[in-house]
Amino acid sequence: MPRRSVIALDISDSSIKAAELKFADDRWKVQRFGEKAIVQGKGIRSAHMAEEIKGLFDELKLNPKGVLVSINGADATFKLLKLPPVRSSKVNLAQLIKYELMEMIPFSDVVYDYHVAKQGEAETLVPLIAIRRDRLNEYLDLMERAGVKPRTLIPSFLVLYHTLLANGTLDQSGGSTVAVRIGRTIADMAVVKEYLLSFARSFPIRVGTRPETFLNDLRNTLVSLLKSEDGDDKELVIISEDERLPLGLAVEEFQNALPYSNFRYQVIDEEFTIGLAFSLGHDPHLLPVNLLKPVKAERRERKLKELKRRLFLASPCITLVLLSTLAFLLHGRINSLEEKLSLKEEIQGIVDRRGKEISSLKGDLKNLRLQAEAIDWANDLSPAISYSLYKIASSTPDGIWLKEIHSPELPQSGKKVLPISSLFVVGYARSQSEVSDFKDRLKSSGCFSVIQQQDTEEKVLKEGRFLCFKLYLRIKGR
Amino acid sequence: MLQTISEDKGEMKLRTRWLTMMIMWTINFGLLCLCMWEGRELWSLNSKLNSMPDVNLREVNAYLSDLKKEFKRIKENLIAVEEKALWRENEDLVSWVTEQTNGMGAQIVGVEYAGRRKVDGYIYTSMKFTLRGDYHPLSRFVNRLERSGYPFFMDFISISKSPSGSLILTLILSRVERKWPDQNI
Repeated sequence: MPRRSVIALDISDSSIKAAELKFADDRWKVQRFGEKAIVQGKGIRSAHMAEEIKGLFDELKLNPKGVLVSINGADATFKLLKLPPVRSSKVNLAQLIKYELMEMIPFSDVVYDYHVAKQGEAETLVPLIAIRRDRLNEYLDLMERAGVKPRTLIPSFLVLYHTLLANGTLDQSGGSTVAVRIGRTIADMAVVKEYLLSFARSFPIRVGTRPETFLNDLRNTLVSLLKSEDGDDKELVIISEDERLPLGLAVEEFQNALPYSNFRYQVIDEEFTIGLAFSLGHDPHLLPVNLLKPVKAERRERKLKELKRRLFLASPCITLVLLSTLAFLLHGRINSLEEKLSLKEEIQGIVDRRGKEISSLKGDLKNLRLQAEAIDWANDLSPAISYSLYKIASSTPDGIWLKEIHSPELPQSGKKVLPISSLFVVGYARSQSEVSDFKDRLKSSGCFSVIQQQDTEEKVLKEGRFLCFKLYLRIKGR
Repeated sequence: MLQTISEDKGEMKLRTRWLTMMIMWTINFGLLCLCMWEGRELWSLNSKLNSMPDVNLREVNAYLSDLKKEFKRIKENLIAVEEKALWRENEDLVSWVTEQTNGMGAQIVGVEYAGRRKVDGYIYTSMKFTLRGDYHPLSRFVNRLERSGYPFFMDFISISKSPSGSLILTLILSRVERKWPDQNI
């Protein structure tokens, strides 16, 4: 869907027309329209024209941004290029068109835009419009002076073609027609074949030109055109801005002079600007070419080049800033790491000192524990030796003669000193049963945890035969 | 003439610009070198920092504190035990043992020096006592010694029958002293 509202500006040698167009109900409508006649002889270079445009925009309160501009078609050239089938890349097509353009236009510096209208098996049809760069620059300069920022810039004959599409003239004539728009100072011509613009041209109507000369010129152009075309069955449409035709010509004179049997006359005044806005739509037949497109592309390229140049010049400064920032950041990071390292080293030093302290303390502790174990007997709370002696005596039955009670031998020097925890009882008995009885009594005394009989041997004494026994008694709790 | 001056000016401008660029790039080169040096320094510091072991000073301090507490506890215990176990100055074991036999029905028949032993920072000086008597008086005597709380250590005890028929009690008692009397625990 096209934009809701656009501004159109039509510049010709005789007048400037500005309009605001609005898209409503599926078609463009002129909302505001203004026209200013230009004094003959003052071209687009004059400051007067810029002032007039500015004044017209101010008068109509139009936004000068994104304006669709129509320029004098006589300044531009149209050509329908019939190229061999091009299936390769766009670059190849562009090169081919450049070559064709060199053949077609005798100027070296031209600005052009094209559109691939038909890409068939036999040929590729490319409508192309071109304008001399100096002429285009004059228009652009005029726009700048007038404070207008153009969005599209197309010649008036292309506006005529789009107007024919927009107002349905082409549909009525079956897509093929020859249209001539007669302005006050310019005549635009568009030959359309099956909705494809095959020929377009504008030529000025100079002041003082005789009507017969103008008609002859027009007739000659059309006749030469008819020769190259298939037939003369096309309809001729004469379009004028108002009922009053230039050079005092009458419609009948056109009808008689021009070699077309089908003839139609239309008056299109402000509606003509619709042709400008129509190019924004999506009609399959419209010709989306814009002379600003290459200019914009060139500008972009120039800007990019300038940017690259500036970037190249600024690169040492940028590098300087980047490297300085990097150096600063690195410096900060190094400082922070150094602080961290110093702190860690300090802690490590403290830990090392603590480690030595711990190691020394552990040694002291070990010695202390040994010392504590060495005199641990002083804390001994187990039954006393005397109690054990008493229990042995009280448990000794008749028939048992005790020979000796003694503790184990002394420990060697340097060995750990332990309190007496066991006793050996050596005695005589008549029989083993008496020894066993003695053992039972010792057991029931509750004073000994272990009672073992060791080294029992039979001995013959004066009193008779006896068993010499040795008991090992472990004192309970020791 | 005018054209020449203008050309000279243009050339001078171009030369100044070229010189400025050269100076800037020289500074940049210097900065680049500095950055590289700083990067190397950073890398070295990083690897040094990473190679250092992670230590927890708080844990080390806590461990040390625990050890100190343990040391203090054992030391206090040891002091308390030593009070009971260590031989006091101006005491005479032989006299004391002789005194204990009074009224006990046990008679000292021999006293002899039984040597010294060095054990874990202490010196055990042993005396061998030989007593004669009946079983019960001798037992009571031993009982009296044990209940006295006197700082001696009983190394050996033996009660045996002599060829004459009386009982002989052999006791080896030790007094305990510090190996280094002045040592502070």
